[in-house]
Amino acid sequence: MRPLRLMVLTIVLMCIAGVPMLKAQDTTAVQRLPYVSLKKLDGTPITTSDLIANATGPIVLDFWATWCKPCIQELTSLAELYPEWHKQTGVRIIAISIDDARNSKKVTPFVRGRRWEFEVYLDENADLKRALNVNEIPHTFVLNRRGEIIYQHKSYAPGDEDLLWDAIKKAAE
Amino acid sequence: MNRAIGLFALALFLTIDATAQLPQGWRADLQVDAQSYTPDSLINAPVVREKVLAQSFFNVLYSNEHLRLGFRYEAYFNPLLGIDPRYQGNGIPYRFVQYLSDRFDITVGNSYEQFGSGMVLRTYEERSLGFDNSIDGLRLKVRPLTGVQLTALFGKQRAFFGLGPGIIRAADLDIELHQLSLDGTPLFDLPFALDIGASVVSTRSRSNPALA
Repeated sequence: MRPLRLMVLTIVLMCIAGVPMLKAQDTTAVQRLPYVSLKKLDGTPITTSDLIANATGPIVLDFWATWCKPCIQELTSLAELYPEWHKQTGVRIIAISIDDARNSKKVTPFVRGRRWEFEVYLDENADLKRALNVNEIPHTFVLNRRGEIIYQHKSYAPGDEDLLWDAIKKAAE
Repeated sequence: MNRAIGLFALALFLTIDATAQLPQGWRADLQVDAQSYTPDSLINAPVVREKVLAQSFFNVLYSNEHLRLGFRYEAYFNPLLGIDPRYQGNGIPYRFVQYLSDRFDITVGNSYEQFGSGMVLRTYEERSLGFDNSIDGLRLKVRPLTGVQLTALFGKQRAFFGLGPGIIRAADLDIELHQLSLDGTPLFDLPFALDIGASVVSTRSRSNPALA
């Protein structure tokens, strides 16, 4: 029976290890966006301050790349939900592509081909990614209208939209 | 049962990301990645002698409209399986001060840069792969006109907790013809985007006679 006990102990340990990870991902830590310069799809510069200036509702920042399949699944799902979410809370979804300069030219046709209606910007040198300590994508942040980060979540699994929607509603309060 | 246990490879992952509330403009975060491994002869899993391997990263950043500065403390005790063991140790391999304006961007310390498609010069960090080749030195970017950017830098590349032997000197000129304008007046009315760029990179290293 010793191997069985070891297996049970393993599962318990993994669960224990998972709790702080989940807690850490959903921690509500009030921080603002760092000041970083990004690019619009036409190549003109835009700063993070410009992005959130005069915000009238919550903002979702979603880090993605054209080569990231889970990111595309998430953004495709959000594209369907976006009109309704925007109508109810005034939320703006902003997708930040971390494709480097070699791939960033593919972003515009990629976005147009999927008819995503939300804003898309380029972080070619990963300045914002690094400033927000984003390591793996997709990585999603929710900001309230004051520009404070109130929620963040890593990875994507179908159904995560519900968690995001809860955070958006909280940010809209 | 032993076979069943053997198939049940144990890899205990623990990742903690924590952020703290700080005064306006400041940001700090701590990341700890720890893993514990169990031998698995069926899949020839490498034997790890340590009970736990852990990597930690602590970032501090200040940013406003014209100034950015920050550092990153890293500790690898010991590096996770798959990460280059030469990372063993700790230190502050990334720190920088950056001044930003519409025309100038000056960075002293570590910076990441990519010229064009990255064939000539590309420095970046990919923590999950254990890769970081930031350049420690001086970088200057000048934008004399809208659509024109000149970048010049020199320094040494990060190599684990030290620096590589080669001194890198590099320059890049990037002209976006569709953005090119003088006093707000576009010089070309192009229905498409057209970028022209040229880069030069030189390295000098006494340890490599070919580059000396």
